[in-house]
Amino acid sequence: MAAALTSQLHALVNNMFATGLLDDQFQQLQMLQDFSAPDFVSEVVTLFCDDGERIIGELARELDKPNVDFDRVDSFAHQLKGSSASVGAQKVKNTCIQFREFCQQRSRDGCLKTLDLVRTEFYDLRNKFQAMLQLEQQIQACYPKH
Amino acid sequence: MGDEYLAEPEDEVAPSMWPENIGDKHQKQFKMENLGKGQDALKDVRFQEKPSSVDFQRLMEMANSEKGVSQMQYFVKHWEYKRANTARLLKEQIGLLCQQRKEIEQKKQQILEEQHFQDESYYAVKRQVPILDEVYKDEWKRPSKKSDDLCHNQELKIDAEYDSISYWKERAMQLEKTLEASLQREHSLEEKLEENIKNLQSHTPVEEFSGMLQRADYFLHLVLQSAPIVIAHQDTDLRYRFIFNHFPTLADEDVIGKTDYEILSGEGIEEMNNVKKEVMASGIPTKREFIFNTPLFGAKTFVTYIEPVFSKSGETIGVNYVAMDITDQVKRREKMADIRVREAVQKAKETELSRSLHITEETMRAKQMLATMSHEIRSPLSGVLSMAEILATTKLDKEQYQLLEVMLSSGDLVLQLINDILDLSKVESGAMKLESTTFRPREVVKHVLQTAAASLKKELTLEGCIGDDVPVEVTGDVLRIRQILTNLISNAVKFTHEGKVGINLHVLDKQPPGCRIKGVQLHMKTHSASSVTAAEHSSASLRNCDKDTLGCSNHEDACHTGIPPNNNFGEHDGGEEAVWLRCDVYDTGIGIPEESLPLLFKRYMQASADHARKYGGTGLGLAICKQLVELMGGTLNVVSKENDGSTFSFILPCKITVKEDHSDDPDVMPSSHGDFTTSDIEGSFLFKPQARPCLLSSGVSVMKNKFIGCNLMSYDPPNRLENCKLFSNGFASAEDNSANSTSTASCQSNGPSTRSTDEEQHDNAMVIDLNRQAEWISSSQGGTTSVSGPNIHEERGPCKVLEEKSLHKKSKCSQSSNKAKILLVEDNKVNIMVAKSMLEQLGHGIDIVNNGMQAIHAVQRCQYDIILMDVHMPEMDGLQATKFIRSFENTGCWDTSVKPEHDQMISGSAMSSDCARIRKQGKRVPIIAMTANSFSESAEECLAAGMDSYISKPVNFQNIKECLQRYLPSQ
Repeated sequence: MAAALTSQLHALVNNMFATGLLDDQFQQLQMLQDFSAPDFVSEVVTLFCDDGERIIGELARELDKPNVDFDRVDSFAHQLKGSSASVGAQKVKNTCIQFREFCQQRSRDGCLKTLDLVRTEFYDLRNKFQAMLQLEQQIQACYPKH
Repeated sequence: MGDEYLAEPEDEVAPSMWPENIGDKHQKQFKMENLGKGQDALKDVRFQEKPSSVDFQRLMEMANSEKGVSQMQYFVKHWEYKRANTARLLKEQIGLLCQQRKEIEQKKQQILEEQHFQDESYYAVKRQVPILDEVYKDEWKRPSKKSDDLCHNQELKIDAEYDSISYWKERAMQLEKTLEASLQREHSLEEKLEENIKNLQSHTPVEEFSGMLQRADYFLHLVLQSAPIVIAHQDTDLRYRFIFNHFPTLADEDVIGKTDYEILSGEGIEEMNNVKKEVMASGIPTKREFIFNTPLFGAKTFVTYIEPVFSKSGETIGVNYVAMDITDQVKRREKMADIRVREAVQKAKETELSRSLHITEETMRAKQMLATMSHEIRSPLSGVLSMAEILATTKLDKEQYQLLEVMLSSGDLVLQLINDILDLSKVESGAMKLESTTFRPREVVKHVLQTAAASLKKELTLEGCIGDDVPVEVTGDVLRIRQILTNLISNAVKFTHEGKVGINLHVLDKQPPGCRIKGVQLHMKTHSASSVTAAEHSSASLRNCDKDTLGCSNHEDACHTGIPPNNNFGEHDGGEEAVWLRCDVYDTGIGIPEESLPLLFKRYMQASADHARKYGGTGLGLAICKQLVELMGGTLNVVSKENDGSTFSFILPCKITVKEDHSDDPDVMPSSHGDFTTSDIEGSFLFKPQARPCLLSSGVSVMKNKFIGCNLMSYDPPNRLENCKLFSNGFASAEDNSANSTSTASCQSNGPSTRSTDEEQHDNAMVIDLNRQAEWISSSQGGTTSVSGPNIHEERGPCKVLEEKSLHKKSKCSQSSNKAKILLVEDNKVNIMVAKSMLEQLGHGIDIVNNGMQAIHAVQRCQYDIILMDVHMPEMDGLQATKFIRSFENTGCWDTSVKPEHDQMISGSAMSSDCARIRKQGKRVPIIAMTANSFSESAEECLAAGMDSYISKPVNFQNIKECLQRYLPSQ
């Protein structure tokens, strides 16, 4: 049972790497998780997901205003970029870079378009993360039985 | 004007437009009736108004031409047709009239007959009706067979009683009246006819013809009125005999009888005349465009149809031409052509561009791929190598050790190759940044030679010779220069089997002061003489040694980590002077065939495939050298003779940091030194053949425990100190830059102050005899022969300690023995979490604040060993915060805007004063930027703000570990 779940988890994570959702930085996170911090990845990922959701909400709100404050938008995008870079969310990070370019150009349309992209990618990633965390929990739940 | 037809080539069509009544119905004899060939058709034509544009004499001649005759014949034919037509019409009319007349006569006869019949049948007495006699007489002759309806009808209208006398009387009168009316009608018709005929007769054929021509002329003018054409006739001398020009610039009088040359001048005239002559000569009409540029009407283009005019006998008697101004059209056409050409060019360019873009992209991708792959390979490889190095320190038997050595050297080779590729792609992509540090050229040369000597496996002499005029210290990217030198030397060694390999370093003619060193983008750091302490120098040179001895594995990181602390970036000392250093690396090796020279600096190219097989290598080294030299603003050249050796020379601009008073003694010119054994001239080194492999190669730790350094010294006591210093540096600074008392002490012997005295002895004239293993073992055993034992041990002591420490660190750095206090300044929660976790794993204690302002407050409260500072933060960014912290460190007081709050001042007064005191002693907290590598955050800015280094985000374990290792003071 646990083995099947583990292989499922591996497949999921490998897929995330293969599709470019994640990059090496995520391995860093995995490396940091040890007996002293057993839930590190889960914590970081959860934090990232919550934070990301908040920032995307902020971005949408900012861009919805009649007079877009691009500096503000940019700083939010920067935050998201930093977060995603830290967890290795490569796709989201790259889209954030793109997003910031549009901010520099003061292109509201570009920003909105990229925001959609960021949102799609972010939620895609979040779903996978959640699936990943769920699997991990299930695996952990398995172990005491053994 | 009858002449128009001459110029009308389409005459056959034209008449149809003319009114039909041109030829009139006149059927009397006409001169033209008999017109045939040879008759002058125009002889009688009168020209009422003389148009000035025609030479009429000429017209007569023209009429004589074949065309003229045929024209006339046509006219005649036309006229004949018209005449026939008219004759037919007239005949018809006459026929009509005749019929009418006949009818009348018939009627008359009928009446008479009737009367006659009545007379005969009803009246016995033949009564004469005198009124009708006449008519009767005539009519009587005619046969009258039928009765007329009309008569019968009339009969009915008579009111009178039938057959009475009054009836007949009345009837007779009526008939008479009818007859009279009829006669009258006939008469009037006849009159009319006669009148008509008379009218017609008043027009002579000549008048007729003239009128016709006039009308034709009128029509022609009407048609031509708005046509921008010129019609002209010229005779055999090309004199104008007729011209029609709707927009004349000249009066016609000025034209007739003149040639083109007499009227016009300028471009195109000659050409047109030539063509006209040609047409006359060949007799073939032609159509051409002429471009004129005459003072008279400017630049214009005409399309001209020129046709020859022949006389009856077939001789050419001139030309007709029609010219039309097509300047605008030509302009438009040219514009179109131009546009089309430009379009084509544009298109071609675009295709070319997209193609080259595509190629570039492909290339970039390929390069990127290569770089990425190299990078990816390097990390695990360095893991393998460091493990192997550690393994070498464990207990191994001889065979194992040998295997391990092979493994290490192969690994080093791969690492070298990967580094080469990375270097190359870095240079090519423009990402290669030069770091400038102060260095001593003599030392660099010496170390390079030493390193080469250490790994030398052949019987070769290595020599170095440095010119007296070479400054003691210059500023430049020493790592790169060393890389170039090492590369060239190893090449030279590789291809030299006997003889020597050497480096000559001297100063080229000094460039004028203030001359900008082109292409060099160094962050020139200033070590103003006063601020540079010996310790700083040593630490700088320590690092250099360290880099060199560690070998190439650190070249990549050198970019990031090679910045020593206590350097102020971005300041330029105006007093600095540039020198051009020329460095020759020569050998007595196999040389390079001339045909291979051009390929030498190309990537992956070696002189020949043979060489590649025989000597191995990637062929990247020289390409990198060249690119590096060029990046630094210099040039790299090679002179070589096959089987006779090669000399690679490069010149580099370097800045002089410390001015030196040099007495240029001609006697001690470097070139003059020939006797190696007595090379006590400054800046001359000699390394005699030895055979100990891998002495100082990158596998530093391999020979860590072998006392090589000390053993070496024993040969040459005076050099021992310096040599030992070198090695201890190599080990100590590999992990630790702290001003270690021992190493500093030994380094200072290298400082300028002590140097002079050393020089007087034999310090710089170094002869390191690196002998075979057996020899050095034996000498180590008898190490006390020339040097006192304690001295050796004194040197060995610290070396060993440092070695152990570094080894220890390398194997596992998470020991909390040197637990540092770190301030993490970061606003991103996720980043904080990750960084915190990493730092905790490394065993450090950290404080976390979220912006620059908080960071300053934290620094005011507490002392940190290192600050990791995000650049982009709300409230106050990392750059600003760093500036404030640095300014506090320099002045000892905070800027008013960030002054600590009062209560904090009091509560922490003791500590802050303590901090200040410590800092005034030179304690400067290292600040490391964490940059996101985006457009808003450049590394230069960070360094300019006073940060010591930067790590790029996302931070990874390796980066942060290396960084902390460099900047955390060891305890």
